[in-house]
Amino acid sequence: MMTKGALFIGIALLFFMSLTPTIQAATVPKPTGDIYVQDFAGLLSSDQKAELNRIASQLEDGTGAQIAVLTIDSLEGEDIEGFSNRAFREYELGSAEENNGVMLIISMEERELWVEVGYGLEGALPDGKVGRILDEFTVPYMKQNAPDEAIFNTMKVFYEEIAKEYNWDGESVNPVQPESSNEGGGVSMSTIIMIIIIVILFTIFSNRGGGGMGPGSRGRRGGIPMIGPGSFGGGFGSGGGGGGGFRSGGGGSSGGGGAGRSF
Amino acid sequence: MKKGLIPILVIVGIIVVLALMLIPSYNGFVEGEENVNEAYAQVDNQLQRRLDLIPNLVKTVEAFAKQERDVIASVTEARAKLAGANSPQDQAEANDELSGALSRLLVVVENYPDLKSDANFRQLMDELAGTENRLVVARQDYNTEVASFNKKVKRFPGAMLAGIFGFDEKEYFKADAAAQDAPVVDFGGDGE
Repeated sequence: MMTKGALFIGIALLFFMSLTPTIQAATVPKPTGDIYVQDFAGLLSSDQKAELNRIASQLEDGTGAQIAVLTIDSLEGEDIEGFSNRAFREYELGSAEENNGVMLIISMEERELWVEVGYGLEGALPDGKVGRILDEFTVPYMKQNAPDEAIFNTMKVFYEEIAKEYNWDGESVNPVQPESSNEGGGVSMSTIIMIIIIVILFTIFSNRGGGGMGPGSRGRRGGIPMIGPGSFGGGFGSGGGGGGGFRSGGGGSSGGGGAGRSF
Repeated sequence: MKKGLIPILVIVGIIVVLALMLIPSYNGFVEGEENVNEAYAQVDNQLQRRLDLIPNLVKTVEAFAKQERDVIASVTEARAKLAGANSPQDQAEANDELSGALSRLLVVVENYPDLKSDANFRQLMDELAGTENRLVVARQDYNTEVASFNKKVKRFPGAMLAGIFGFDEKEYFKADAAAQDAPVVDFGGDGE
């Protein structure tokens, strides 16, 4: 059984990864599904992902700009700014002409986050403003152990800011600012590992997407032919493909603009 | 008649082939140089932006922590030095010195909670941090372009042609090893 083998290797690798911290640069996970939500740390429910994908694709249709979130378990010793810039450039957010993408990157182990802003959105989202958004929305939610709310509302703020910049009057998404923080206890490591395992199982059994959690599962996956309108890395031209295909990055780049916080 | 023509044709043919071989490599140099210049413009932009942000930062810090004259002066001096630097290497050195001065300033800022929570100061710090990160990316991109250009200039056929066409190796945006030694700071005495 090929799937069982993959499962075993995946889980074994996972434990290795959680035991031995490596010093090399973290690999940027290959994007799965629509580019907007790459939740490799498993912080969002599938309903939330669907909703985020929905508003993000609306925004792209209306303005051409792409908003995205990438969550990972660990930076494996790399600094978050460098990782974020590489990830942004690999995902090619925003169109090639306008570079109008923005990405929120969260790493759970280091408890750090960074917002990478493409060249074309530096007017709508200058560093100082991004920092304020992080102080007002993202960090308080993260401190309340509500990473899903943090991601959701941060993305909504980006959505609103970009809509304003482009004078686009699409659906209003109304971000909610958190109430004064009441700090709870930290999420235990075992909960996180459980979530990761569930995510891995899910990606393996649903048999689509690049699995991204570890070199093992990805390398193994190479043997399974994946053909379909939704293969990744395809098509540079900005989204807008017909019915079934996933949205991919539009070829945009970033020069390292943005702001970050730890939480 | 036929016998005389053949060697001439051969020679002309060789010349034509050589010329055809030269054109792409010349164009390669031109393109490489253009890429280097473009990448350098990005570095220059970010340096300029950094220079522009610092007077505001200094003003804000002065409003809250006037007595920290030494640190503030070292930032201002380092800024002036960077503004006067010209070659990539001088700029890289002056830039590192400014980074050192700024990090000393940040240590001092820790003692002023009012300053730390000031909205204006936070915004400036975010902008400065963003600019610094852009600078890191821009210098990486620049050094990558320089490396690929220099490789072209130094490798065998290129080395000869680069000389003929007048293309030189480019300078990396990198500080000298000696200049990279962090300046020694004495945090012993209290500011006052």
